[in-house]
Amino acid sequence: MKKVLMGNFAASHGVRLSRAQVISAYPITPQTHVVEELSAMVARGELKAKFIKVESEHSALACCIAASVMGVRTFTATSSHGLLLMHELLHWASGGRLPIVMVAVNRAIAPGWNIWNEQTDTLSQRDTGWIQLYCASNQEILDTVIQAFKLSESLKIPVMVIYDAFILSHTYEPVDIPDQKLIDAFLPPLNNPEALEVGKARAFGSVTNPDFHMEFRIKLHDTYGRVFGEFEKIENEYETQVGRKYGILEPYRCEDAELVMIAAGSLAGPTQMVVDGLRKKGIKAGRIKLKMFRPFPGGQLRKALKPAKKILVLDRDLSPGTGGIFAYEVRAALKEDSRPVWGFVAGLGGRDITPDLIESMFFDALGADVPLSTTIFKGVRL
Amino acid sequence: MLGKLVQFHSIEELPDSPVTRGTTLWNPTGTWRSVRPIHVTRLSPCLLGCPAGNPIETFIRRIEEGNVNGALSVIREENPFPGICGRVCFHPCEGSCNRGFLDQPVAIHQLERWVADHGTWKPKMPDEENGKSVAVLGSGPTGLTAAYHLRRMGYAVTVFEKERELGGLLRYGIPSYRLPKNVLDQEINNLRAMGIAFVTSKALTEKEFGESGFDAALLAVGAQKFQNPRLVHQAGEGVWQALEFLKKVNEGGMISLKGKILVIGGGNAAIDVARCALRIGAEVTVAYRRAREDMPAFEEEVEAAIEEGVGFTFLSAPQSVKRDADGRVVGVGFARTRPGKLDASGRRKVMIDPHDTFTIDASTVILATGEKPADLPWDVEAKPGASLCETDRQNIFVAGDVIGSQRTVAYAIGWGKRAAVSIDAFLQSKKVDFRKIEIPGSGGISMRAYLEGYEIPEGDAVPFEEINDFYFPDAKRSKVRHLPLNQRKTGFGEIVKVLASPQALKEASRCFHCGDCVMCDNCLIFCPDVAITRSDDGEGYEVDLDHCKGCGICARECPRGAIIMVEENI
Repeated sequence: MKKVLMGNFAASHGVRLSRAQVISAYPITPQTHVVEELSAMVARGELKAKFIKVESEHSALACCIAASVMGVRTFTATSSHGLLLMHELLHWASGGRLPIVMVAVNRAIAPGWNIWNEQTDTLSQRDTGWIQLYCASNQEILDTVIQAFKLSESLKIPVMVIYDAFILSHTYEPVDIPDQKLIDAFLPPLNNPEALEVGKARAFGSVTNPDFHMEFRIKLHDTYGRVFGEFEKIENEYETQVGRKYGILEPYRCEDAELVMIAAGSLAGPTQMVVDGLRKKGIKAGRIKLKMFRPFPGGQLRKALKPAKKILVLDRDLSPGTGGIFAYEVRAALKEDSRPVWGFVAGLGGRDITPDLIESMFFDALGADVPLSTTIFKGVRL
Repeated sequence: MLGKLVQFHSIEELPDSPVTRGTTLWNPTGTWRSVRPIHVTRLSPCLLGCPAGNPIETFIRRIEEGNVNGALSVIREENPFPGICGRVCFHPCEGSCNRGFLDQPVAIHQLERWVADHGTWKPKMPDEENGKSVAVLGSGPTGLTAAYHLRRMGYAVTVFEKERELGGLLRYGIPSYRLPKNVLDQEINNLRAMGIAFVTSKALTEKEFGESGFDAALLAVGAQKFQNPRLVHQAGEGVWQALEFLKKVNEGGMISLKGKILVIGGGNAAIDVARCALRIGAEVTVAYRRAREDMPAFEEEVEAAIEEGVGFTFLSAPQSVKRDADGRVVGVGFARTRPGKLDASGRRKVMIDPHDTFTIDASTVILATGEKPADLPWDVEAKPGASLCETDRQNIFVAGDVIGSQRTVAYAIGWGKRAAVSIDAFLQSKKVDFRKIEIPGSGGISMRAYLEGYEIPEGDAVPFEEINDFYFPDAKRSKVRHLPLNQRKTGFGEIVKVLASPQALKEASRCFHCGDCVMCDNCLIFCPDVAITRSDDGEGYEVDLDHCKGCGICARECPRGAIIMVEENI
């Protein structure tokens, strides 16, 4: 069934179709409509779940962790400062190997106060052990939420489904809502044989001395090695049953592209448009939409970048002193590759990234053999 | 220490995350503790405000449990007159209620009234007669309360009242729009049903007492001597004493009073007189020599009087009663006053300006300028301090307004309990440690402590700072309906209505239960070490000190200060 939905409601429908059993959230800014709609769904009886409203994001994730330990399907949503407040518990969730799914809506971080779009919030959580999936459309949000539960539960690694504030979160697009039967077949009820049960005493997160702590971390790290394969399998299955697939990354006109721009989230749309325009002008441009950031798909990226002579990375985020976080990761993934990488940073704090601005980045790269500096800020007023 | 040792040979064999397959009880984290939580019962501030020693927190809890009869019976273990107190007491308890710091105090007074009006309580004879007898002189609240508790202990009690009807000030001093006579009669009838004998129109003499065979006597004859301004020597036709006037009205003897009435005084009696006079058709002015804020009368009574149309003139000192040629009162001459320096009692001296004089017309003047304790009717003398109600004669006791300076019904009831304990102690040759039965602060006596060995919690009352107000959502204090103003001015119908039952239950739920555990389980739920459990008897909590780290979360999350942290002796 097709409906015109804002990105937040698309996420809510994804959670409903996934039959989440415990949802816990802090309801106030920077929270979005995701949980508001879910609470209404629970109240209307459309979703049989326990909705736990708490006094902070820290508590929200703590609630999810406890529920997940009990073996139920668990969801939360947050944004910017809320996500940062969860930071400690993000580690607890991944270290505890709990299959929790979270929607994180990208908003800038204060000071000064700014609720607009920027991706520094989720990118700064890259070492917490959560899988990160960036979405480019409202349809992708809905589909990814459902896939995220399956991925998370099969590997026992928590997953963040991420999208841009306002550009997707509050913008309406036509979204196909799959039939519940399809999703039930795709995502069976969670069955965790190690869940806590009454009468079977367990203590979770107990002390581990130096003689074991490292091995637990290695085990989590090793499991990460299976994420790409597992996600591909899940996407293929979803494609078979529902008919849509997005890919860990999505190259566009890269087969013969000399200049390739890498962008994540909602920037996939305008960058694609700009590439088409440049092609008409005879410029061999391409772009790669990066969906998965953790684990970072370096191998797939290198493969997609093979024909490229110049590589451009567009970051709507900043690691002060280092530059764009995606650019940093791309450079690391390219290893000894000698091709030049342009690291563009634009649109911080919700400033518009227009097609013209994107095009000017391509022309910057066209007109030089190497970038003038590691980080190039675009669309700067002063 | 660890139970079964498990060996892992590869990372694959490890569980996904650190998890025990048993409990962590083996790890005595209690050794880290430097402070420990103790589950205690502490004093509620309301209790410290009640000179009658009403078990306020307990009776409110009974209401919350839906047990109105239980509420009534716990009050009557301390106070025979909840119906009376629930109407006429000026509820000092509410002044000390911690809820007042959050929004408004719990309407304890109205709850007591509701319990008295809705509960059923059957008076019963004592289980055993102890063979001794006591004569009580005076049937005011002190005498009746003493009689009630002595009777409960098995004494044969006879109350002597010199007036025709029982109740003392309750009957003759308090107007029936505040205390309907049938309420008073009902509560006195309870005493009769317990086997207390009453003799009215009789002032027992010392000689008769000596010949009667009573083992002890209590003189509770009240404060009935008038203290008057300089006008007293001008008394006569048209000039009344407040208590005489109130008595007349309360006896139903004065059905109409026309013309202008001038009431002199600023205490509760002045207000009672003014409001009564208004109801029998007079135009009333109250003249007081100080300012309104100096009036000893209770504010809500003053407001009610103003609402009903009583006029007030302040800073006016009466100088002389003016009469016409036939001797009829035509008015009172006044001198204007101004506040002087503070005197030793903290009040301002009244400075009279003899040059600034005026006259208020009146056909009747009523002097409500206070009473002094009556002279003791017998040739005995109260022992100094008198907190044990003793006199220089070992079997004669004295209590109430006749020796006390705080003259309210609640204090009178407190005196009655004190006298009952002293008389029992004397007659049973018991030594009483008053510190164990006296509620600190109010001086109220706990009969439960005296008769059943109940231990009054030690230490100060729980301050508001120790109440976790997060657990007490906003809830407005209940308001009671009042008789419409037009009906108030023309009759003696009771003004204040009783709370509706749903209102009473809601009001009771506003109580914090300061310092008294209600088994809400918060401590147990919040303990991060799962170190708190309910006691086997279900009457409290136990702390597993082997695992309690002393974090104090239980004490912080206790809504009512019933868990305290004390330092360990390390």
